[in-house]
Amino acid sequence: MTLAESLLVAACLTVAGIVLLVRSDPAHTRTRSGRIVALVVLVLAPLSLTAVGARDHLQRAQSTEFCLSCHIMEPYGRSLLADSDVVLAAVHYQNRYVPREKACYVCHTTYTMFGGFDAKITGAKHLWVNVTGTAEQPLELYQPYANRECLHCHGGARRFVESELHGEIAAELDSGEASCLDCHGPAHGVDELEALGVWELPE
Amino acid sequence: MTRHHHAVGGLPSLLVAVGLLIEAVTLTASTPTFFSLFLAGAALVALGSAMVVWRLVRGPGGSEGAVASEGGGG
Repeated sequence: MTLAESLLVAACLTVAGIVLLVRSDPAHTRTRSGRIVALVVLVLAPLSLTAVGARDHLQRAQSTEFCLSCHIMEPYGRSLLADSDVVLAAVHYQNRYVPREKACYVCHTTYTMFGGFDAKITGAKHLWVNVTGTAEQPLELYQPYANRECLHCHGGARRFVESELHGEIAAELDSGEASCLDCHGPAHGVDELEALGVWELPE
Repeated sequence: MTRHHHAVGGLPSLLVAVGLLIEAVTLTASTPTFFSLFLAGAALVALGSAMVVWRLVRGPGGSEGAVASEGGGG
């Protein structure tokens, strides 16, 4: 039984408890023990279930499937399967440089102290524009893609450090004066997808 | 005739129950829409729970409507 299924059962049991409590003799909730039961059934259990449910939802919100379930993200989903060795999303996804089940999250979470928290705030904004249908086209990042997110994995990697050019521009890369995307990319190449074709993901 | 009400009240219980049911349904799928609905359910649960705590803390003496007279108190 999955966590979601367990929560589903627990929520139904709690609702049944609430119904029983409300239909019971009102005098019960005026006694000390009755108040404790009410506190557990109406406060502690529901809030605990809500907390665990929220955690489960947040975990699942990191999945590639979740991100691509928004219609507006469809071309970005297709870019993962672009038949290309330069489109970064395709290269990383197809070669498993990122876990396929968390492909969007791994590259689009900032690797700062509060990166995970920032990602949740940003995700909340995305939920809002998805529900209200107010997303602006074309989609743009809130701020330029930081080298830090690339170097989180590539920094110190053999292919990275053995490149002479990387050594020559190390200071510029650190300061952000030079962007990884100046030489590598495009990141998703959504305008070129029709021409690129599709790589069939093996079963 | 005197009608006794639960100290926790019917509306808070209803809010918690409905919120929990919404949460339960939305746990069956992982999409932005279901996540949004989950948050709405969580808001109902939080509101209902806060009302329950408020009523329990106020106690039976201070709870208006905890014991309500009905029909002129024959």
